[in-house]
Parts: sequence; C-alpha cells; structure tokens
Amino acid sequence: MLPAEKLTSVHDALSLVSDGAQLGLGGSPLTMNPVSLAANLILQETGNLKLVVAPIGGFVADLLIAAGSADSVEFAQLGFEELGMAPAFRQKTQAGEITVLDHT
Amino acid sequence: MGLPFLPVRGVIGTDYTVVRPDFKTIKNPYGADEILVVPAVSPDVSLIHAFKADKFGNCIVNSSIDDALLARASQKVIVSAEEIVDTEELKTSQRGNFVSRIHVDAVVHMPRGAAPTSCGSYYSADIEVLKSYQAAAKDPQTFSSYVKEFCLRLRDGGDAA
Repeated sequence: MLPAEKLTSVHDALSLVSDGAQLGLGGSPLTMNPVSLAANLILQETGNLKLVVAPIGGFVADLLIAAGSADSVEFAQLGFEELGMAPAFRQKTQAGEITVLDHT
Repeated sequence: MGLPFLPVRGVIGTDYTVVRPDFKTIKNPYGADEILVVPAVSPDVSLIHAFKADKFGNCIVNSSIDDALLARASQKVIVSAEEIVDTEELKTSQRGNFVSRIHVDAVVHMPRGAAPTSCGSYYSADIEVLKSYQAAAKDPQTFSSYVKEFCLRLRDGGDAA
C-alpha cells in the first residue's frame, strides 16, 4: 500500500495553523525562510501567533511581526545579518507591542 | 527527543531567570544541589522550505541549518518545496538532510518559496528586495501597505520578484 499523499494547496496546508498557535519557522536569517507560506498565512489573517525561530531568525519572522500576526517571538538571535536589524522586530520590541522570549 | 525539559548548568547564578521566568530551578534528584531546567521547544505547527519533496511528504532540507531538527520537534509540519520529485530522486540526493514523511503533514509546491532569502543552489538572497523592505519599515504610515502588497504578490505561490 502506498503512503498517504500530502501534496496539497497553499490554502489547505495553512488550515493546519490556528489563531494563537505556536508557529515554528525554519531557515536562518537570510536563508531558506518559508516566505511564501508565511505571506499566505498573513493574507488569510491568522493571528496571535507565538513565533519560534529555530534557533536564529530573520526575514520571515520580521514579516509576520510587521503584519501584526504575532503576539510573541522566541529566538536566540533575530536580525538581517550584514544588512543590519530586523526592523519590525526592533520597533515592536522597543514599543512593547510584542513579547520577546530571549534564548541567547 | 520527546523530553519535556532539559537541565542546564551554566545559567545558574546569572540574571537569565529574570529574562526568562519560565526557566525553573529544581532540586537535583540525584544530589543535594539544584539544577536549572528549560522547557522543550515543540511548536504546534512549523513552516519549512525544502529543496525537494515527494508527494508523500518526504523531503530534503538545508543541512547547514536546523530545519530537520525543527521538523522532528514540531507537532505538525507544513513543507513548501522548490521541486516535487519522485521518491527515488530523494534517495539519491547528495545535498541536504532527509526528513521522513512521518514528520510532515502537508507539502506545497512553491518554486522560489524562500525568496527574497536564499535557497541553496537555486537562488541567492535578493539583497535589493531586503534593503527595500528595511527602507520601507522606516515609515510606519506606508510600511503596512508595503507588507500587504508584498504578501499579495505571493498569493497562492506567486513570485515576489
């Protein structure tokens, strides 16, 4: 018997993510970020996410924070490497608008 | 590993527990001293971009980052992949870490799904797009519409470029 097929549409895949979910993000600051998946998650307005970057994050975490999709982010490092700071992460952290769980 | 927490020695005596009150100190069950424990990271769902995947969820991810570990630690995993290939091609792939379908719940074919970040030999990071994002963030009035438009270009697997 062949195993179950799991190839599906963006919409059906992202239905696995509920509001308020703890959401792990693959990739490192500027490499292999799940950008298209996250952008579609933003468009379907899934919110109050608790982000976890594993263990260092960058662009896609910042995009979700910028879009207002995240309540918190857990990280060891979050930035844009040689390009500098992750801007939305910095702004919302300084303004106290997201909870940061530092794992440095 | 499936463990609920891990003991960590080095943090004791620092202000780490002020920053992270969820890090607890417990009595060492095997001695008279105390040990700090940290909770497991086990996301409800994780998003991971792979080089190649088959339709069953087996995939090849970047071996220089922790994506394979994240897949195993997560309750559910959604994978986007540059290419959907036959299972046989995954078995002979020389580059990257193999993630078994048992860890993966959904696969979506998304060419350039990591752009503007880099994706192995498929494409480099698009520095101009990343710089324009950083520049746009300086104006909070227009940044939210920039983010919305950026996402709309990627609707249903479209390309940011």
